[in-house]
Amino acid sequence: MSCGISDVALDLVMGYIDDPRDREAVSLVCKKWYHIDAITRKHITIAICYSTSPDRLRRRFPRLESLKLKGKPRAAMFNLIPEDWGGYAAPWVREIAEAFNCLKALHFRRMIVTDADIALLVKERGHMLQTLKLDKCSGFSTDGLLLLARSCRCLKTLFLEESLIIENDGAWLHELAVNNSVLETLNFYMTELRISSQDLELLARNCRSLISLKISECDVSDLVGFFRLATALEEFGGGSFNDQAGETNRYEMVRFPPRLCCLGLIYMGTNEMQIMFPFAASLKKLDLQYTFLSTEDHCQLIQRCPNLEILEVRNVIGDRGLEVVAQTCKKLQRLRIERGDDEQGLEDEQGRVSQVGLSTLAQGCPELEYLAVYVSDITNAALESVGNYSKNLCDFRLVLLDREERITDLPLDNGVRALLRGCTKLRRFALYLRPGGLSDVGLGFIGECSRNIRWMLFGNVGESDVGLLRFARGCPSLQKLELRSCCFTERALALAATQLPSLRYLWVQGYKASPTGRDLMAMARPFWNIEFIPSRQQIVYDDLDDRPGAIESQAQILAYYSLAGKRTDCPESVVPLYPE
Amino acid sequence: MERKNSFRGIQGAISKINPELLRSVITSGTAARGGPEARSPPGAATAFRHATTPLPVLTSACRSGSKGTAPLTIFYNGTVAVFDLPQDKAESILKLAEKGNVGGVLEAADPTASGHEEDLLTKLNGELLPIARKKSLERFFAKRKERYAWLCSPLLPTSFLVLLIRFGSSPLLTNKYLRPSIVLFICRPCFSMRHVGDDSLLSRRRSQTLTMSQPYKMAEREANVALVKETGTITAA
Repeated sequence: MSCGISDVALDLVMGYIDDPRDREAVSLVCKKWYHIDAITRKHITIAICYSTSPDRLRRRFPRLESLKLKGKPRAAMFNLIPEDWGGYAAPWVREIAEAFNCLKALHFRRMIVTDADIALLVKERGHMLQTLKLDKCSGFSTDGLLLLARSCRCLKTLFLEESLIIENDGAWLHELAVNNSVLETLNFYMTELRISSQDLELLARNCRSLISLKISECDVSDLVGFFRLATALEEFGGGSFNDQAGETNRYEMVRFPPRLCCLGLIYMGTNEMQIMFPFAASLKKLDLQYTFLSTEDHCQLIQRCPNLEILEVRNVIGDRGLEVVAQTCKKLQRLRIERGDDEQGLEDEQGRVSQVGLSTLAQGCPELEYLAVYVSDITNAALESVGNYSKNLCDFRLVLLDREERITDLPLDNGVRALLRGCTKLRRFALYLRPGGLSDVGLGFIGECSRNIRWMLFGNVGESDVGLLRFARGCPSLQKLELRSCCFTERALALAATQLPSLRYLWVQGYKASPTGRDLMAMARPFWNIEFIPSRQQIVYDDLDDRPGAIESQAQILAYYSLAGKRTDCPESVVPLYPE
Repeated sequence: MERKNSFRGIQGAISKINPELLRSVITSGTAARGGPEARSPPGAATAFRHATTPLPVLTSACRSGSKGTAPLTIFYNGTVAVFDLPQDKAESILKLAEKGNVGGVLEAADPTASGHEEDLLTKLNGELLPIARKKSLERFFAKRKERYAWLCSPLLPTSFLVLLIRFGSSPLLTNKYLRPSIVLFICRPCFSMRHVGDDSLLSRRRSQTLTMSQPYKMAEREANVALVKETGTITAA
């Protein structure tokens, strides 16, 4: 008896329910609903691959069509996690090969995938694989890509962004161009793969549905032919600019496809910028993080882009550039302002973002959903502005750079509270400050005012354990917490971990260790894996210095819920901890 | 005070012996018996216990090596080292720690290393972590440095001087539509300079560095380079 709803009807209705939390609620109603959910669930994301086992996944969701797995902690993107930490795709690929015969889309993020894994995947599932994403992965080579290219003729999306790929040759791209005619998205952005522009042209000829291409470095002047052929292209990223002496018109012949609306060009400089002007008004997404543009250049370019929805820049954009954004980009939804180089060269003195730019931006762009910014200065008022105007904000990340000695207005307690109270849709929140940036009272505010926030990252916040414990009394939805360079003791961390009601993942680097290391065990409980990465010293050879330097990496704690028991594949650098 | 000195000695000694010496002290018997060597994480220098309190017994289970060894995890002030040791060796380490007397082998260590070790410990415990940098951006900055460091190489062929002279009389310079101020330029066969915006253009470590603050400021360089740039286009030397 299912509340008077027939099974057939239930089946159909459930097909419309996609949100994983809704599905979770549905599966808890009764066994029948659990079963129907299990066989109709299309997609699963496993936030940390060690939280469950391939076997458990298969037993519950045998008809899965799409799977996303994440391995290494997020800190790996910042070189903080040992390369051999783990996150091996092998056990998952084996299970997929054996049992998941409906699987069409697979996404591995920050995992170790070998050529053998790819070979097995291709052999068993290659004929139906439509989407494969090896996202910031490592462990495989172009031989694996060659296998994929030859056998996966249904592949619509191949995504390899930022993966570390061993390069043997460029044949894989040629094979892809020859064997595939349905490819829509190809991404090997931020990889070091070397490819030939002829293969790209062949791809453009054979894959008439190609709408997104993001490549590694390849001179843009060699892509003239490709751009002419890829008439359906909407997104392009990568390429590079290398003007040669005597060739003043090297990029004059470049004409972008008519539907292009998402663009990111590497090493583009002031002089090349104008190739974007003819279609700047139709740009929806712009990535300037890897360009050589000045503050003034940013102003010149962005004022021509009133339809921009996604913008990624470095802090060279400056407050002045943000003013232009606020005036021009009324439809802006996502803005990322990354950190520029610290090197003591001559910085564009306008290349800093402060409370001025932030306030202007908040007032000018009410559609903002994602805002990540590295600031050189900040005030409470600026954060209040964000709270007042950015009502659609779901993801807010602020990092206060450490160059300036004096910050206008610290601590940021009141500003943070105002922001959290104003931005009710906030789900993700990061605050990386300096000592004195946020007091214990401020931490308490965060705990009180973060009803829906599921992920938080803190750096240098709070003054003592009191702050952390106040924080841990709130945050009802907090599932994932990352702490860096804070002053909390092991004892407080362990206590907080047990108090936060929804916490299922904790990562800490930089804390007050206890003399015995036992205080951490206060959070030991069933299904809670605790791993310790001891501090390391890595010898690094700087190309420019002749002497080797040492990078000291402080100890880290990683703890997460797991139904799969303790990890059995820890490398030497990772120490699993158990209570006695 | 005495104890503190002995700790400095211990710390300094440990810094010297770890990993190789410490390994040999611990496994001098083990090697002969063909047992597994002690594993100490590279660079995790000191892991030594205060003499008056017992060594921690918090160990990582389920990682025993072969032939009756077990891991010994030592925490000290936030640093940790893990060793796979047979029972007797573990006990001798514990005894050593309790005694606070490190014996002949360790005294031979270099006293100058102790300063560095203490700094390391202080750093690891007290100091702030630098804000971590994203891998993708790091790579971009490194590549950019490479591109322009190459441009700054002091090895400029003298033929550039000829080009310079030719260029100096170029109509571009006398063009009234040309902006009055001039910009930095390097005479190199393959690249012409462009404005690179915010962050550093070149590494200071190179012997001859070009400086460029505002787009239209002239700078002169030792190797007889002069720059002219017409607004909006790049001109070759």
